[in-house]
Amino acid sequence: MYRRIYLIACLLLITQGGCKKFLDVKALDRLSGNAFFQSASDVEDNMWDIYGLFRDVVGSCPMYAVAGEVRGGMLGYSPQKNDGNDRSFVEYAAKNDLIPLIYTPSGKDFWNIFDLANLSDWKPFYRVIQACNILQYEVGRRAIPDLSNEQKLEYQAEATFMRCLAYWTMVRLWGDVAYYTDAYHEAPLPREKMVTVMKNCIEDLKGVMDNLPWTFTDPANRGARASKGAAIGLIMEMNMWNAGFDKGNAQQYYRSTADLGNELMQSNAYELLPIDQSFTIFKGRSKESLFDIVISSNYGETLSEKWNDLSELVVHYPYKRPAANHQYSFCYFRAEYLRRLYPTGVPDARIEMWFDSQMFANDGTFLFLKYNSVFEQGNDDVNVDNNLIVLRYAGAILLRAEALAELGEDAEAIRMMNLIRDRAKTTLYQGAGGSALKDAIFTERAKELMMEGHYYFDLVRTGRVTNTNWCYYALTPSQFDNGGWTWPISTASLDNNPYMQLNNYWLR
Amino acid sequence: MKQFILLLFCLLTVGFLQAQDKVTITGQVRDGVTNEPLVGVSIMAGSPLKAVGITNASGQFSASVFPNSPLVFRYIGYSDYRITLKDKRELVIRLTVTENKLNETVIIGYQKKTREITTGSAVIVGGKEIQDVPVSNVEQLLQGRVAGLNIQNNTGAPGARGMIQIRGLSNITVTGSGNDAFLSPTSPLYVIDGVPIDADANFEYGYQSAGPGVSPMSLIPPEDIESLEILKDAQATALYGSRGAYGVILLTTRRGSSPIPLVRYTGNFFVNTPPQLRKTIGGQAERRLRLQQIYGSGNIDNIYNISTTHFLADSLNPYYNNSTNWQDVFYQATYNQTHNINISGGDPKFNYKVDMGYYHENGVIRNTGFDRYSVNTNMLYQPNPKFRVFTTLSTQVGKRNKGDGNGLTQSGVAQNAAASSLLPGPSFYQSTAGVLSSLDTKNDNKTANVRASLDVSYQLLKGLSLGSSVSYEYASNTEDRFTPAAAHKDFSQVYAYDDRKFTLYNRNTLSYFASINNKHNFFVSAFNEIYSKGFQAQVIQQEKTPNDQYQGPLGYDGYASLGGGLLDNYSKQHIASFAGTFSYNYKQKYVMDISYRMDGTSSSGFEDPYSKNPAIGVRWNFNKENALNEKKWLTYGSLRGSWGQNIVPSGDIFAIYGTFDPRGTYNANQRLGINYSLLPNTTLQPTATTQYNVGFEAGFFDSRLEVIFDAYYKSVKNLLRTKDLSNITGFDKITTNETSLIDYGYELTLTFRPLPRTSKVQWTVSVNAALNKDILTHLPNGARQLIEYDYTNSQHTLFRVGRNSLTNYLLKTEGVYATDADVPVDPATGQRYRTADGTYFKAGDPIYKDVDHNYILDNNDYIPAGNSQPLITGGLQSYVNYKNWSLNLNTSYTLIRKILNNAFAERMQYLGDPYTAKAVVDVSNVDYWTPEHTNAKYPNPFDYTRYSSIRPYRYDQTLIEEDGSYWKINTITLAYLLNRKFTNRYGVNSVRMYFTCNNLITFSPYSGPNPENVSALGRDQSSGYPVPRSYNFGMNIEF
Repeated sequence: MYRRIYLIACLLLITQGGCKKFLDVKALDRLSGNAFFQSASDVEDNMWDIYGLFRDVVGSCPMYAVAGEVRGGMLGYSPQKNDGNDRSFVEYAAKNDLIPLIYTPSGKDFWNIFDLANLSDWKPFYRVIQACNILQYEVGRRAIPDLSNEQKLEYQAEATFMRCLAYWTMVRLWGDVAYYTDAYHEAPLPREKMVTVMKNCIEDLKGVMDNLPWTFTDPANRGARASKGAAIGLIMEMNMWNAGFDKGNAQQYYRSTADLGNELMQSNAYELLPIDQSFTIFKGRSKESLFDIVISSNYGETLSEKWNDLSELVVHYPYKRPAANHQYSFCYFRAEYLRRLYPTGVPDARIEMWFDSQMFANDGTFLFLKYNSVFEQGNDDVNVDNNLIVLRYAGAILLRAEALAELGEDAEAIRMMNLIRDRAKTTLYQGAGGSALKDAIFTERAKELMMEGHYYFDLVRTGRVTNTNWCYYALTPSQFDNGGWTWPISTASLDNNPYMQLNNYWLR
Repeated sequence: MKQFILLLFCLLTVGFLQAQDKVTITGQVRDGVTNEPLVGVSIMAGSPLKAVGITNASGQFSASVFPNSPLVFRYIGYSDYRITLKDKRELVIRLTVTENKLNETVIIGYQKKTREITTGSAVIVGGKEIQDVPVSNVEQLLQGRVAGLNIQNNTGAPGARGMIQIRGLSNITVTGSGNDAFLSPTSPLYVIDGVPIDADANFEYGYQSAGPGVSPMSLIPPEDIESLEILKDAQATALYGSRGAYGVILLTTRRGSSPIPLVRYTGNFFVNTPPQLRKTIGGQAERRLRLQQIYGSGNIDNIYNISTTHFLADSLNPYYNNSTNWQDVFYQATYNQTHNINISGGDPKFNYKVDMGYYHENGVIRNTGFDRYSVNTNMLYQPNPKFRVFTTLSTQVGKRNKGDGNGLTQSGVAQNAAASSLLPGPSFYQSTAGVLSSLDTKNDNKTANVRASLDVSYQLLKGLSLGSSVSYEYASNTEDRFTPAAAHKDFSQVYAYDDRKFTLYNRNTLSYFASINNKHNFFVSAFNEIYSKGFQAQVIQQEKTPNDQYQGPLGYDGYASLGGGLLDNYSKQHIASFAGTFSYNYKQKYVMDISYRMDGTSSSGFEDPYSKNPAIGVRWNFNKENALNEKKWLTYGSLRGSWGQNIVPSGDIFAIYGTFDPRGTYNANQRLGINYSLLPNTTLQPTATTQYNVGFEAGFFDSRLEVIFDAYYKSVKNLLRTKDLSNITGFDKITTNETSLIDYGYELTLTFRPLPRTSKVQWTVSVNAALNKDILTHLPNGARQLIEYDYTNSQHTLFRVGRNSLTNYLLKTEGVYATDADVPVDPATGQRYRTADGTYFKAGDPIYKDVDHNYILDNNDYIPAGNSQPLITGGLQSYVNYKNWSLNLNTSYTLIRKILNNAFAERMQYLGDPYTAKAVVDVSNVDYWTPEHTNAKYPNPFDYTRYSSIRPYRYDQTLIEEDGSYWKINTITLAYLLNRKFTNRYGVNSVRMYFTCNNLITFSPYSGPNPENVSALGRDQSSGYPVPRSYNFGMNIEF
């Protein structure tokens, strides 16, 4: 009789064990979270999605062009509007009159195709951040059979990089932002001081950057995926940003930038390509790329609109088609500014490579040819097929030069700058140290990274945004201190978040 | 050893000696009313009573007893029959059914118990009480019968299901908008012969539900129901787990019990008549009214407009010279029938039942109807007391014709019935496509349902038994609809829907019963339960067949195909549960039940899938105390109390883990990322219901007065609600458990038997009432209030913590401005009270309360108005029996509930536009403002020039909010049982004939047609399906 009872007890126990599996139902029609992160390919696909999300957000409007370049004011609005449509928002942006960009004024309906209101919406950046946090959390807690521990750490480091990249981009646009690193974050948060955000990101990224490889065996991933070089490049940028705002600790930031720059250069993983191959740099995935946003018309991987590309405002036929309505560029670089960057008589291969004879024409005949690697041979209205270069080796070298100059190590700083000047086949710097050197480095940076979406942010972090030499419609110091350099924040941020405060400058 | 032999010897001798004096009696035991032989009646003799025999399969018995000893015949559910044996050796005993609630057998947690040792709150409704009324859904017959069971038969659509709630509101989720706002149903769990059934099936999507929309409850023929048991409190429902939180209704079908096979035929022939339709003004009178209205405006442009509005000006044109009664086109009286044959037989060792049913009902709206075909069988095999097998097999087909409606509403009909009478009646050549669509849409909608179950139990040891129950249910729903070209803008349309659904259910039980000296009784049981459910649906929708005769099969290009494919409501769910229960009673005087249940569901995530649900109940049968034991006036009396918790699995794995979607490629690599519309909530909990219940039950004066009183406090926690998120989360929404509400209330049931048992007239009256209040206790983010804006009719819903859960949020109408001078003037600006667009109020306009005192009517002027949920529900039943006649009356009532009379508002709004060819209703009995009659209740409906600004008959005002209390006479049945001697002559056991009137009359202060025929949110819409009145003649014949 007891045997029977034992038998029953055993049966009950067996059913208990199978229950957990029984209760784990996977849907057929959709992929639920419990069925995901099961294999290495799931993690890989999710990682690529994070890169894709970042492309989605910076490609949702001409973000780099308007926030990074146009706002500096050195781009004039061309008098010839060849497709007849109104892109006068560049004038508003240059004059720091941003509210009309966010709320399109009546009669300016054409602007709406540029979705400039996205420059006040940080939600898509937080999508990137949540995705990074979720990947880190899920990879960390799950047993994924075909994923080694090293691979897990590498994925987590990649996610950290992308999170820091998102925070860095946000801080440059809006100043203080809400900061979190936990997965599935739900609670509303107040905005965190941007110096703290950048500090946290620097610590965060420094902690994991060694888990990233210097280079990739698959050349397709070069620049497209976070490498150790990309991480260092980003930390250097974040350091330099904080150095501009956290003046008390500026020296430490400069030191760190200089050291990291050295580490980057010692690795020999990256190189400055010859200037006559500059089209390969901007095509992307080159040995000079630290981090790109991949764009490929072939694979249908484009920004959400073709006019959100950096080249949109400064090229015309034959680099844009059809010929009929692309006879002129929409913008031009102001001649006086270009003459300051490229003094007459000083040779510079960049003049030959990136400009044509209309370099100093203050009108739509101006053409900027950095992005000319591929153009459509047919009559389609497609922009040039370049990657968006977020960070590249030349930029990192110039940052190192800048940091060294700030540290007073002028000789090394000059050596750094001359690496770039040498590559551009221009005369090597012979001038004095100190502030002359700093200005020279900044000039070099403005030349080298022209139309790469860095200019305005460099003005902000160096304080040159209040200087009419560098910023066409300069901010007054009090405007700068009140956050005039930021973008307005969408009022939607106040919804369901009692701690939120918008940028006061834009609430007047 | 020696001693043992001695003892044995003594015993044998004693036995021998006693046997010598005994006599053998034989006889038969029958039911006092039906004359059916009763099987298994125990015969007891001696003092103290000892069992001496039991009746066999034909009710026969034989027992040897001492002469002159008292004999007792005892059978469950029947009164004891006592007789002192004299000379008679052949006995025919007729037992009568005990009419005493205490002796009812109840089933709680899959265990049969007598009511005496039940600690939970349960009510039984016998199958006989509900069998003389032919309805498509048996649920509606429960209306008013059980205190605390609120049933509103809010649609008359054949085969559809009304609203059912046990103990008030358990959910405040509203989907849809306007009149179609749909309160998510919280139906109790149905357990049919031990198999749980999801009665809300096919209603997941409210009014937008696809498919035939036939509830499983509509597929059960009432004739096959033996009894229904309604379990209300947490202790009673504790062991039913997941869906038990909303109460449980146990449905037991008939069993075979007669050794001679019984064939019982029930036939009903009934007429459904449409309710009274609204009065309209037809023909010339309509035109005159419109013209008078326009001339009254005094505006020359408006008068000029008459000449360009053909249907007003061109009175000689035969097209516009009609007086069509549009409502008559759609509504009809119908003749319907049902037939049911029930064959049963067997004895306790082996018995069987086969029930075949056919139900046919044509709707009172043309081109709608419901047919049901069913075969339900069961079989019990119990070769010895240890082993028992019970199987059931049910197959049911429901065929439902919805016309062009969605099954619950007929908006096409409503629209067309509201057409102007001046237009010509429907015909193929007129552009009255709506009519054609309503009447000519071809439907072939079927629900097929197969359910099989097997229940085996085996007694391992004395008191220890093992049982297992398996059931499988498969349902397939198809909808095939063809709309002819003429009815659909010259392009015919084909729509085909089909879905399939299965439920596999298994329960294994181990139970042990022990009794010590008949004083301490223990019962312990443990069981596990497994569900596996799945559902999938798909649709094809195509347009432009070659002609109306060619309706398929079809093949199409992408242009004409209107999409379809697999619908997104695929679901698969697994539930595994473990439960244990312990019961103890001392001499059946003090009773205690403890149960504990763990439910794991696949929809609550695998991190911690199990929710723990304890319950406890106690009962004190105080009539068994010595002080009260012998009191004549007290038949029985008890106090009971219970506490328990139940869960409802809510949410799904997507709400917990999120959804991952493909998003193209990056760098030529596949992208798979989380969907940002819903943030995964890793801590999502199932909705939990905790309930306290205190009950009092007593019978007085030989059960001639019985009282059951229950008070309860129910707290519904962790209600699922989707809330918006801050944009720094990157996600749009999250599903959280932050909403809670409580219900508390009292339930009273009184049963009177005014005449003594011996009287020739037997009369039972039962009254019940339930008062339920619900209070919202928590909202997401700790908000104090939340307004759910619904801009379709601007009838918003207010959720405010501390108030009733669902509050109408409306403008307050405080009367009508008698004169212009009555309109308040803003002292600051000198401007009169005006609307947001600057139109000033004047005489004849409604007085809307200016809540914010800014002299402008705007969105700040809404106030919390009435509660759409009823406060008091109940019913009254009376049963009179005299010889072969019986009269059965069932009534129900609902008190204190607000209804929004949208249908009335809509009709009055038509008056605000004389240029549109809409029906003009008879407003002669509406107390509206005119320059002569300034002291009116309703504003001036004819001031059409300012109509669009003032909107005097807008939906969002308290003017159309009315009290929806009603008292309804549900059914009256008069039955006659033909003389048995007469019928037996023709080989017929019995013939019973009856006449029933269903939905006879409703008494209500409500101005609309039927205060019950409104949505669960109390909105009376013109497209609702009216509830017909039916007259039925039926008969039961038993062979």
